[in-house]
Amino acid sequence: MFEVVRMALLAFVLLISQTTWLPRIAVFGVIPDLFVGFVFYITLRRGASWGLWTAFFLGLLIDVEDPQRLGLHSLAYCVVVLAVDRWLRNFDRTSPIVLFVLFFVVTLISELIRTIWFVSGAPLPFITGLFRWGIPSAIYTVLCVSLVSWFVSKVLGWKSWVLHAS
Amino acid sequence: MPALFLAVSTVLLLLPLRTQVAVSSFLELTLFVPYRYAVGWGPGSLAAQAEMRRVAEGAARERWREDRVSERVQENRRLRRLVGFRRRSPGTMVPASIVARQRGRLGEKMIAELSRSYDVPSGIPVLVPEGLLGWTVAQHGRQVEIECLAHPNAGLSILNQRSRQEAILRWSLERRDRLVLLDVPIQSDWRVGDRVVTSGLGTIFPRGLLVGRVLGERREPSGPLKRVFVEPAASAARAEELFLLLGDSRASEELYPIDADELLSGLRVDDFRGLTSGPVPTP
Repeated sequence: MFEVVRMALLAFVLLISQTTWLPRIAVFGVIPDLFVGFVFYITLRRGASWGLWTAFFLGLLIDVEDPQRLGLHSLAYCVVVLAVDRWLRNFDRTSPIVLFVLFFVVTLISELIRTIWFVSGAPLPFITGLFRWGIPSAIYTVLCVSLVSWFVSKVLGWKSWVLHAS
Repeated sequence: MPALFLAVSTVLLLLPLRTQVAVSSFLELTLFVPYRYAVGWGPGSLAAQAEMRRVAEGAARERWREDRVSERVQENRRLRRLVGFRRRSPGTMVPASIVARQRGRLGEKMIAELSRSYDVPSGIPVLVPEGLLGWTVAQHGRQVEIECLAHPNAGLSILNQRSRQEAILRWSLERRDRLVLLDVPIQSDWRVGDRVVTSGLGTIFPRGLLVGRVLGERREPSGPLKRVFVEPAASAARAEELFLLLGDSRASEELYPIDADELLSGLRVDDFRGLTSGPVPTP
């Protein structure tokens, strides 16, 4: 129960960040997605089950702001959780490089799903959206989340990096 | 279980919009109540407040900038009129700025400060680019006292520029913003819109200074006479800078604003110092 409350509070902090100071550090309109990092972290630490519940409700929390896309972020984040859980079985979970690459790939998958929905499957807008928003967002998210998580690790005095799976 | 989550998410995504709105409202009012103010749903949310502050600040900044630009545009227009007016005018034009105004039942008077020290006798015509404003009555150092046309002491010999009819112009006590020609023969030719200028008779005002335009006429109840009402060309309320016409100006021509671009090279910056609040036009 305490763990659930703690994650709910952390989601609250991320939500506030996403709506207040994060838009100020946008680069050419691209804002990092901290929720993907949060879902990635939960899946690393707690496994797929925790990850799926977190991803589903976190996605709903984002989507209720725009009912027309209700379920989109839930779907995207759930796919992220499944991808992380599946691929980590075949790779070294302790390697930061593996985590970086995996994080980038799953973030890109999340962006792909959202882009497909926004362009309604049209090919040319999809390619344009992918290169203009999807890939830059994935890169920026990975860099930003890594930096923030490293900073949090130092502040909290943890021995290992937050995203370091154990 | 993964399939369940994927399926539910997909179903939610494919629901009709009305159902999606209903589900969103339900979740917002139940499960996600603590997050309400963080997401920006209500006016009290942090994000909405921050955005409103930014927008208000931006709007205030833009409004201030627009006011400044508008003021500069007005000043530019005024200066261009002044430059063209001064170049065209005969005699010695001494610029002055208004420091005090007095409007009341006893007419309009004002105090103006000269840009430089001059010896200004009384009875000197005072002009603005629109036309004749009044005359000087006294000088106190660099300040001069001016009586406007809207004053009981006004008694000006004027001329209808079209019909060449002459009359004496006075201040109208009926309508204090009007001037009137009294005891005008009923058969004389005065039409609405006629330009009224100084006739040059007398020792004070040169010929051709624009006084105003004819507004209308009214027959006197007794005798074959009528009154002609004139709207003054110059407004004491709107005047900001004015000129005293010194020197021999009896042979003046009519004054009107012209394009000042070609005339700027012939003027000195010192002529305008102390007169305006902003940058002076440079050659």
